[in-house]
Amino acid sequence: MSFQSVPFLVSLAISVALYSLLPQRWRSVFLACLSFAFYLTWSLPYTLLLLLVTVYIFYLVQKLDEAEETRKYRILWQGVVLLVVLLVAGKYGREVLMSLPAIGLSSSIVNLVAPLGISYYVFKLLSYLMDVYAGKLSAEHNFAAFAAYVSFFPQILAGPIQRAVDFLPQIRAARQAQPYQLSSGLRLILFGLFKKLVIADALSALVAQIYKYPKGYTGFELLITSYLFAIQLYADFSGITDIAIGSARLFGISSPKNFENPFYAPTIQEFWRRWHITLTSWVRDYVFLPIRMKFRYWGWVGLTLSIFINMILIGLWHGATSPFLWFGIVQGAYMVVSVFTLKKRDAIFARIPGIPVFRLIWQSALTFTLVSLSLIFFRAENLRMAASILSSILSRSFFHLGIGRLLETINLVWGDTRFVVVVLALVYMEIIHLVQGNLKWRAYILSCPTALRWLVYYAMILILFFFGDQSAKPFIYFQF
Amino acid sequence: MREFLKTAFLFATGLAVIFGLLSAVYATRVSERDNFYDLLKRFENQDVRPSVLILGDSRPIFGLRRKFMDNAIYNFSFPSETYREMLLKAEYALRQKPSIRYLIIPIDYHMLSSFYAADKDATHLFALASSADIRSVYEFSPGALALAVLHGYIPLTDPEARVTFITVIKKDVYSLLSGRVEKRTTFVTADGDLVPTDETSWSEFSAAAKEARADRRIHDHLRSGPVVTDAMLRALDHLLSFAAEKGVGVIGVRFPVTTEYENRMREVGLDGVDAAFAERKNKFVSELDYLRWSREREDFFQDADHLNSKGAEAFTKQFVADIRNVIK
Repeated sequence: MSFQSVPFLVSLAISVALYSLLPQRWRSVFLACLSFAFYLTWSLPYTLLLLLVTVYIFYLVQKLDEAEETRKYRILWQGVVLLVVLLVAGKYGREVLMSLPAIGLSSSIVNLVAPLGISYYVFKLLSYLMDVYAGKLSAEHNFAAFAAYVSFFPQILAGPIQRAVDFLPQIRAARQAQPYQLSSGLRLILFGLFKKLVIADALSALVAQIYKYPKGYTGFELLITSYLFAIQLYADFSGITDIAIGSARLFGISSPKNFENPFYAPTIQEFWRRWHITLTSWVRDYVFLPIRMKFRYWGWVGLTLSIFINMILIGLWHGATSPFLWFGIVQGAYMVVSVFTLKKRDAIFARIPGIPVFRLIWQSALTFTLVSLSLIFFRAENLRMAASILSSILSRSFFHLGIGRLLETINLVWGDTRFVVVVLALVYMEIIHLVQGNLKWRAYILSCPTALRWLVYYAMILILFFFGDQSAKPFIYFQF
Repeated sequence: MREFLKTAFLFATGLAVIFGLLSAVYATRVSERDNFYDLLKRFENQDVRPSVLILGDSRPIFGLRRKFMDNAIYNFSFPSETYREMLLKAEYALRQKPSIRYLIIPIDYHMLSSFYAADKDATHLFALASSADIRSVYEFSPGALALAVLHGYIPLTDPEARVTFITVIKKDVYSLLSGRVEKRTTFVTADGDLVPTDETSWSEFSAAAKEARADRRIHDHLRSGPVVTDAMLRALDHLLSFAAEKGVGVIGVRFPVTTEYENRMREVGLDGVDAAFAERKNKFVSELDYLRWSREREDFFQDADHLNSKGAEAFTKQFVADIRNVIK
């Protein structure tokens, strides 16, 4: 059951009503059952696997809680190894099996080795295990609350990766959602659907058309396409995140932010602090910082190694393919250059008067361009295609600056009405993001007359209804 | 919480009102101007008492002109109609006009294809058939039937209807701003023919353009999947048995196409279609093949597989004469 489908929205409304009618002690049980039932709509074997893992880690953590200090480390490793093996097998087993045609496995069997949302729930469980071991969190003894945390349906397919320390107290309290949570949750769901169906899916059709035959376009057109794909990915991923956070809010559960205007980031470091925040903060806390500590006496080599390991891990988290590996390497290289040149750049710009505003715009534009270029690895079908697109962008043809073919493609894929709608929707999305990030503006908008605000919501619903993509394209981050 | 529920109810009511208003606009601007309903109204006229009823898709509707037919022959075809629609229309027509003795149906090569099998838009048919009949002919599951009923009675719930709505509204806005009335792509003439607004002549196109256009048509009609589908065969058999049950003769007609279209069509491989129609040959009173009719007259065609007014005039004369021969 996909997040943008009518059955999902109807069952969400019914579930929220039932949840609020239930006595408090039954709510976590209800939420766990509901989450497993939601996951079951995707696949029975995946659901059984999720149940098994949940039960086993619950049991392990009970043992960890009762064990003597000397045994705790072994129990932790037992859990960590199991989860990592599961993650590697789940994420990369498919690629391995597919690369071995001699075995002759049917595609349905191969597909079984890629459970949906595995990266999200395994990361949740890993952090939970490590936090309990480190004493940051006490072991959860209520299985229903724990199962609800692992399988929480708004988050299981595409995050955000919420930490147990944040989630479990909320599910234990199992409070009914307050009216402000309901209205803000509904607003977020509406905005998420708007981003996905009006912006991301429209851009997806256009980008797909261009990626079918990239050689037919000039370097300049391909650069614009790479910007468009970056925006598509953002609208798609932040759209599903908004729906997830909004849906959680309807059950009175607050979720962590996953994005904070990443395309306005002035540096690559800042970009990664604003993009897929729950993944990057997870990798920072459980991978980067421990490695950095290990390499702390190695000077700049240690820092470079830590950054590269961190970024390559983020790249490979998306899948075991060479384009994702290169995505991680390129991001690592950006980050290393950015970190090591920051002081010098600051010193140079400090000498030029009146430069800060110009620098901010220039830095944001450059960061956006660098990120968009690295995302070519993300979108291309293989490394050869990515290399070919990048070489076109970096070739002399770039300076012809012709966009005739691109405009033709836009006309073919969208037509004039859709073009206007997509452009206006993009502007609207950015206004909303800026408002969301500014308390003063947010307060002002919320103080506007109800009729005015409702008009905006009605307009969004109508645009979704008339211009939203009806082909139910899956969310990009579902596959991870 | 009560306050929230009250607000939510008010919001939903407002949304329902807006949807109602848009549906009213749709009913006046789109449904009322829908050529299908116009043609249906004309057919329902009591003075119409045909003995021969022509059913079919865009080829018969664009390729025949009422002016050159007598009152005994009535063209009740409509663009994109498949054997499913023809069956439901035949059932309806025979209830309305017991004078009908012959049905003319197309036996063109694309009629059995997956392109037509995939067309499950039954919106128009709610005006002339019951939900149960639609369900049985379209082989809808209960859910699909519910959706079809919803689309039939509340058209704006249908994504395709929304696209039409936007197109119409866009034209209205354009007309309002420019003061010029935007032309519709097709319209019903005073005679009751459905004709395209802008007619072209196939002879005006370059050779490359002809090839490209013919290729595109064949891609849509025959290359999107199997050229013979069980679903379309079942609908055809259903239509033939219905006619036999009612004692109505069926005449099969293959309509004219251009050389470019036929050449591309032959590349696909049509033995299956020939075999399917050959198997049912005895169920037809007669089969008339006009596939290569007036092939040298490219100016008779407006595109790869449709006649223009000039071609339609010449074709209707020949067609009517042949039909008279068959039914005399």
